[in-house]
Amino acid sequence: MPSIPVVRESGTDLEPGQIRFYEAAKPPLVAGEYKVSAQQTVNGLDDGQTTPQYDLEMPFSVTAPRFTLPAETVQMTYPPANAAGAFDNALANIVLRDKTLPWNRTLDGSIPPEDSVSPPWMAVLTVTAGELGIPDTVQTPAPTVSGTVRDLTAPGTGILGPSLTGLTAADLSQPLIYLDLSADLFTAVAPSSDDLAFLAHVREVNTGNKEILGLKEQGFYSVLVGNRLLRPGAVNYHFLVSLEGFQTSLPPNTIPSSCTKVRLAVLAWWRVTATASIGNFIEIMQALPDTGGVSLPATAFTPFTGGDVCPVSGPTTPTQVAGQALDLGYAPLESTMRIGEHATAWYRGPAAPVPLGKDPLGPYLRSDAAMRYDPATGIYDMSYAVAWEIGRLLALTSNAMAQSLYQWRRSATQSLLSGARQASLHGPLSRTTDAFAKPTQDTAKASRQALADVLGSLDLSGALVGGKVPRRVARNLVSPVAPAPGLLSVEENDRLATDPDPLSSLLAAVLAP
Amino acid sequence: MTAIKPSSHITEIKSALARADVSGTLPELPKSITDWLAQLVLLDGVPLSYLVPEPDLLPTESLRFFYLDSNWLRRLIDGALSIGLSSSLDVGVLLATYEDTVLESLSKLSSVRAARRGLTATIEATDETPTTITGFLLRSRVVSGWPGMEVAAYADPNGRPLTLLRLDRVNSDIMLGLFMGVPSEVRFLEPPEGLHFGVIPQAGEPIVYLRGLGYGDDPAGIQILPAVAGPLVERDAATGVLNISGSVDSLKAALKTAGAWSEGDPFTSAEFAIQMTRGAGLQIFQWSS
Repeated sequence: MPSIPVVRESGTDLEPGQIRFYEAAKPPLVAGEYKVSAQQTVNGLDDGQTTPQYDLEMPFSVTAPRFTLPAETVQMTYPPANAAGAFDNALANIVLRDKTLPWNRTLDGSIPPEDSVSPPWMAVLTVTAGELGIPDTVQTPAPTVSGTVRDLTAPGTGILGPSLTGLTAADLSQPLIYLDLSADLFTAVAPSSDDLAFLAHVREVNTGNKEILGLKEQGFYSVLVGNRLLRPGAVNYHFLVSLEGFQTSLPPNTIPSSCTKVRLAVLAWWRVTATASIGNFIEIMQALPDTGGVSLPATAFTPFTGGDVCPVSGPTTPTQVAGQALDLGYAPLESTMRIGEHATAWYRGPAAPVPLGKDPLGPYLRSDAAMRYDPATGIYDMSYAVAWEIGRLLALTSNAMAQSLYQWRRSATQSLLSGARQASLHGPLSRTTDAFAKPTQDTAKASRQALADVLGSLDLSGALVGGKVPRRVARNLVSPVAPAPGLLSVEENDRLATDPDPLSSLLAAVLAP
Repeated sequence: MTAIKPSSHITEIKSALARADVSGTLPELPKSITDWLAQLVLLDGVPLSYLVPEPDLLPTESLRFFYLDSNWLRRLIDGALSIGLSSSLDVGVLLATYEDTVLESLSKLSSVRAARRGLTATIEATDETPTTITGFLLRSRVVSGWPGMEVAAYADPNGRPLTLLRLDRVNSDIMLGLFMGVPSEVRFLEPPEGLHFGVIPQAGEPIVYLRGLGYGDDPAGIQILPAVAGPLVERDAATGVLNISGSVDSLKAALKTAGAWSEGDPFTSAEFAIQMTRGAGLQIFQWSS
């Protein structure tokens, strides 16, 4: 299987399924207030003295999302929202459609130098429900609070809000959602200012003909990564928060002791249930041989014909017999015989550790016929009889299957009967031999005879000629199964042997092993 | 009425039914029946206790590969077809059409899973009769812990894939898989849909296995082999918060030792992302035939 590198060096086109990582996608201008200044100086006037100067200024602002994100910005999250699974040892991440968004602002609102990359102004914080002090289920109401920008900038005593600049009165009344984290928790989980730069990057993907990383479209995406491994056995909340204005509060700096809480603008949040840690996928798989064991298929392909349990010329001691049966996948189970005797019987499911050849037997019309008896040990093998019963029970539980089987069989027998009548009236419509011979009395008679054979105990030949209603011949058949020890009484066996009913002889011939 | 020779009777039934003037009007076996039988052959609905009669045959944390016993499957079909046999004529029809019914059902095996995934049109039922169906039973924590686990079987080292006939959790921690043919390699793949950032715990410490960055001889994005561990630094092991800048320094040092990075080469969030992207775990079971 060819493996193509999923990371491609720059300067080449991405092939389907490949991905390229970038440090950042810098916007031409970060968000803020700007002005364009034009200055014109007029030289060489006639008076030779004055050089008039004309100035023009045009202010403009570059905007970017600040307190809320447009709904379509979030492309995907990992782990998926509300998912449950073994997410320990994973870091949360969120993929945004806007490739420059994490660099559209700076932490302190300054304009970064031309040739540098500023740290992202947003980050993913991971905290557990327990740390938030809310119930450990995903049904809990949102831990965030709806408010306005004013609530953020003027949070009240004891709560640290961001120090923001350039806010207008209109900005202050904009709605947002915020989260109050305890100061200790914020210091514990927030990335340090040095960490921030490594927690955002840009991906370029060519999704080609398959979906990759959940990205359905080609192009550039910005990705923000959490800095905390998900905690197993807890509901983990992930908040994409704005850290703008918190540049002096990030670790290793501390929160002023007068503040017990930190109020953060939440741009997006989601929660997942990380199940109790069960370890590493590969570790568990590699431990299989030592724990429960791994059994590979028997490699030599020498089918066992007929699925015999214990060949007579084979193991002789009981231990050997049992050992061989166990090796072949049989389990000794208690069996209640029809006469009330309790005995041990072998059973094996459809899963055999060795390849088995197809036996020429069957089909069986009743499960007793599928029992196997090993005369050497006197033990029955019930496997196939059990299979038969399961098949029957499953068919009976499926209404649709039972009905369509019944209807098909009914229409089949009816078409056979009508075919037989046709044959008796007009002779065969076509024949497998002597196709061009003129229908004669003889061929019609032969056809009727063949049909009579088909129809077994129904004496249809008379009915077809004389128009009489066919009458069922009384039968004293008990069981068509060939005698098997312990299954039929002596009387039943005798009756079976002398039964003149053609059907019983037919079935005995078909079913005799 | 004279007794008919038993030995010739089944032949006569078959030859009579094979004749166009008698059986030409036999209605075709409905698709719903063969579809149902194909599901039955894939052990749909067969209780787990009949697949594994003794719990000891499949202890916790174990993997068992097996062959499906075709005789067992035929007995299953026998039982299913035995319902509603009300006359000897029914029996005659059953006996005469039995083999065709079985073969037609078996030819549909590969479309059962496709149909369930809504792919009826793309995978056609093949005419070839399956010779051997094999499979596995996996009882492990990975079944419950990684619900999207992928399984693929290959017939030979060249990677010819075997058709996956069934892949189902039959219990919270038991998975049943069935393949058409005898595999020489079976791969268990951690669900890849969450290709994400993560670490590998090693002796309680988080590490990643380093990947090349395109510097030196190591191509970008390919794991350095033999595997080199890059230790990560935790701010506080109790909370699982990583010291990212400390980890970056640790990764740089490990990469430098491995010759995949040197002072002066950039190491930004892009390089960090390459190291931290966690590949999906792949466990391969291989044997030679």
